[in-house]
Amino acid sequence: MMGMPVRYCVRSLYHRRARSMLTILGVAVAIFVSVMMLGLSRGLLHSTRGTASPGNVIVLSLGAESLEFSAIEPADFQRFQYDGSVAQKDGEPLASPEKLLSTFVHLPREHTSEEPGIVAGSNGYRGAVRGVLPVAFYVHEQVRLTDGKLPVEGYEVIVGRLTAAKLGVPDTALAIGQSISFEGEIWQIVGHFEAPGTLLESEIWARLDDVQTASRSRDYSAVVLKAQSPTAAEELVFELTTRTDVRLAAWSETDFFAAAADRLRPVSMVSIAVTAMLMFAATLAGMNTMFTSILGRTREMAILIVRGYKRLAVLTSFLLESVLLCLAGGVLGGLPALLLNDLPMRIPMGAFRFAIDGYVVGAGLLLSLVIGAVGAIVPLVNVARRPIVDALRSE
Amino acid sequence: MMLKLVFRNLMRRPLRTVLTTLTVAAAVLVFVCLLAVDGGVRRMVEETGDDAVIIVFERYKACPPYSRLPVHYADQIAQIPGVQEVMPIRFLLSSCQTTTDLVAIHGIEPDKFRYFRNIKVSDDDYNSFANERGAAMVGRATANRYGWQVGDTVTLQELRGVSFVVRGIFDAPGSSLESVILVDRHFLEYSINQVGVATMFTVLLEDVGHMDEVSREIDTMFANYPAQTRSGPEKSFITGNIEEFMHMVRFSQIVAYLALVLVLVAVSNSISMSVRERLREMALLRTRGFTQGMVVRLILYESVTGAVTASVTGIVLAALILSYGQFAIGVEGYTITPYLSIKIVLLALLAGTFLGFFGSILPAIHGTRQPIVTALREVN
Amino acid sequence: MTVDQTENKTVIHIESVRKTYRKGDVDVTPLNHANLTVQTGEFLVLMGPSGSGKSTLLNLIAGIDKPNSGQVIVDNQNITQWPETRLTVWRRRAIGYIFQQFNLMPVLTAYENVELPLLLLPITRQKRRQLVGTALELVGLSDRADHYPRQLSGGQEQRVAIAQAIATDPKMILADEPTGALDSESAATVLDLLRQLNQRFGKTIVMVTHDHQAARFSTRILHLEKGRFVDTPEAPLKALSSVDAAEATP
Repeated sequence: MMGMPVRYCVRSLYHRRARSMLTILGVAVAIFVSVMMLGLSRGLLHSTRGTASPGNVIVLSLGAESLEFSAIEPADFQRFQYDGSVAQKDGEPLASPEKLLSTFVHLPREHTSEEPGIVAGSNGYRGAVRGVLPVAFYVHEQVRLTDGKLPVEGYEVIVGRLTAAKLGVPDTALAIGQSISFEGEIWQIVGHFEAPGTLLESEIWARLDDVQTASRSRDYSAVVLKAQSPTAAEELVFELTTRTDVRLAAWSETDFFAAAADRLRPVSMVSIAVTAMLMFAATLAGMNTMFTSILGRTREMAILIVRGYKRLAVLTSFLLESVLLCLAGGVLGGLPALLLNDLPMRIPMGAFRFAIDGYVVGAGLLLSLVIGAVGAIVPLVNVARRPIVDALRSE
Repeated sequence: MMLKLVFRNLMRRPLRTVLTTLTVAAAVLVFVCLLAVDGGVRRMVEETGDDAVIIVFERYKACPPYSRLPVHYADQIAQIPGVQEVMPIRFLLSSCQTTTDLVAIHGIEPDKFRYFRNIKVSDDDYNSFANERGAAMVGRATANRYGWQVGDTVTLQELRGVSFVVRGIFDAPGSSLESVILVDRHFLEYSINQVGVATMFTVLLEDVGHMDEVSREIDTMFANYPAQTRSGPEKSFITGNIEEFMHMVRFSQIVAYLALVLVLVAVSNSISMSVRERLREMALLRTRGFTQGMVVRLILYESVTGAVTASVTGIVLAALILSYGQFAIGVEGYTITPYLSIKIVLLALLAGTFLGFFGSILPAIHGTRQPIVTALREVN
Repeated sequence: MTVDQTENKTVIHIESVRKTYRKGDVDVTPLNHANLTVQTGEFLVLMGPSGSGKSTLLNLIAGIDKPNSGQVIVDNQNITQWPETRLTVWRRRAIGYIFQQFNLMPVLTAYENVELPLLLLPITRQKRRQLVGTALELVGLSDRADHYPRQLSGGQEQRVAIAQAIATDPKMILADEPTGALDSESAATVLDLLRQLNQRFGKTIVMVTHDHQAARFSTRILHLEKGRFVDTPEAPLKALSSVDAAEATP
């Protein structure tokens, strides 16, 4: 069907290699950035949703939709932790009371020179602290200690693999043996944990007791219960929310974090918007280039037609040239991005990893195809309708 | 004549001119929107924060709901020399995080509030608010968003079911306050069953020069209390709070500026190609007595005119999108709206001019530097 | 437009001029120690094979090109070493140049095209209008003044080009194959115009052409062979010895 030697296309591209190179480079940059943005958005959503364990139920005090405002009385906790639907281990319910703090974390060298007062930027770094009991590790099954030990006594903490990224400090600052300071106390790092695919990985975990003391409040921010099965979790939610003796709000973790992911839409939107703008600009720019390039070759095209090649074949070969060029750019831009998969990234909600997988790179390549095709279609259609004679006469 | 030539040449290949104009317009649109976000942040900090006010927050705490200070601190702070007025405020926020639908209630003391904030509202409305328990003054932005009118009774489930009656709607253009609901502090405390706890204190100084002194004095005063404080200028406080958010914004901006550079390269490439197409014509002009300088100028006028037209288009589009889009984002209890200032418009126009100039100067000079004969030979 | 009264005054003098340029991998020398003298009021026709340097000569006279050696003296001025700007300004009043094709700016009307060179002269708008009007009338295209080149036939385009060339009342008119792209009827019209310009108004014309018909109106015909000008081409032997064509009588 082609009737048009592929050699012609390749030769043409090579002949104009300076311009071809420039186009490839441009497309590569556009695709690279788009893939990164998509990977960022995807990673963020994955980590947020991934924080949920299917059989878990999270309980907050009623009227507080965010963790920051929730406060559950220990006495109330006693009342519901033995609910029938809660799974048990060794006779004890898998119910984890937790105290969450969003607080300023200081590193040792700053601690000594710290002065009371607010100067923008020198408050330290924002960290997420979670005070837990040992049962938390059974409820949050994704969390595993990788080295060191669990906090035993006297203001010890363990930090996740992404905590350094969230705080914006080098990993060495959070090595075992280092100290950090928050809530007016000094804490020593005694271990590291991993919780891949969750936001938990950027937190600082300490003993519940210590956190309560340091923050001078005895209530719990939340209680996470492990139900006997994912279906039991729904029942558990129902039971908890309909209790009259305590006023609770409960969701399955899956629902809770799905909602959180939804609320992250502004961030996702920003990256999508930037990608869209980039695509628009790249396509327009590509169209511009194609236009000028094709216009300069109308005579060439006309001669080919005169020599016997079908018009459709000639136009298709030009389209192919454009698509090939842009696809090359897409590959050039997409591959380096692939290497940056799992790159830690920090946003106010926490730290997560870029998720640049085949799907994202595939999307990037598709985008480059679109640029190539759309960029060439308009000029080609415009030129296609001209009679050969005019084309031959064109300057 | 130059004008004629410029316009007619631009219209020579209308589709191509339209495409290039759209590209530049799109780039300018992005550029302006980004700057508008920064402008919005700057404006918010400027309008929301008062230069003579110190904020007293709980030490070590990051988020408003975590900051809990005993209300009685206010009396002691008032004793400090240089302090004119102290007011405790109780915050109730729907979320600390970055969100598009932030709801915020500030429990304040109506008799003192006007020392600290300049809000535009009729005295009658303010008085009816001050004299009634359970009354609320709602910022224009929030009122518009939820369609509340004076006299409405509103119950907010997401804020512990707090219920109030709207007695006035106030304006505070550019300030985060316009997204806030003001109620009496005591009323709020009783509503949520938490008396005697303030989120922060606003401290009005007699003399701005003593800001650092007084801040330190306050923090020293409570250094040994269970709930320690950190005090500082209001503007710094706000900036510090939104710092993390700004970090994210900067990242997006870097990406977007990259996009702009891409567009620049593409457009200048397009211009240089269009110049190359007309080498012979340019040589022709030179045989007719036009100097090289004149021909270069012709090309420059052409691309600068095109670029400026595109810039204006981009700016107008940005203005439309920003005003009808109603973008507002809540960060740590502060609301940021993009803001398009005159300075930004001028900057965008300048950028457009530069784009047109630098995108075409080299090809133009290069194209006219050739000896006329070579250029004349080009076509054949 | 003025009628040139001066007679037998040398207006162009090319002395021992050599021009070489590179075409691909080869060096081409279209003019090799060529000599030429043109008097006021002459209608000189240059003929010769394609690419033989006839156009090059015109370019040298117009100051668009520079010889590798030799002198180019036009209107008693030695323009050989002049800088480009000086040449450009001088060209405005000295030369009217007509190419084979693409003489006109496609985005301007016939009127505006004729006006174009006049914009470079220090004359009032009224004067300009008058000159354009006269020029267009002379070539018989006053009714097509506001047409764009694409709306004109090839012959009409060339006539507008002539109008453009004479509007500034130049010392001489150079025409490079002006009828090359025209059909015989249009060609005849164009040639007739040139004849009129020469015979009625005494304009000096140097025309390069293939067209033997055009030669009929000329006062002198020269051929370019092996880089020099000779009277007739049927003297290949003569061309071998260095015969100068300069002293040929009109």
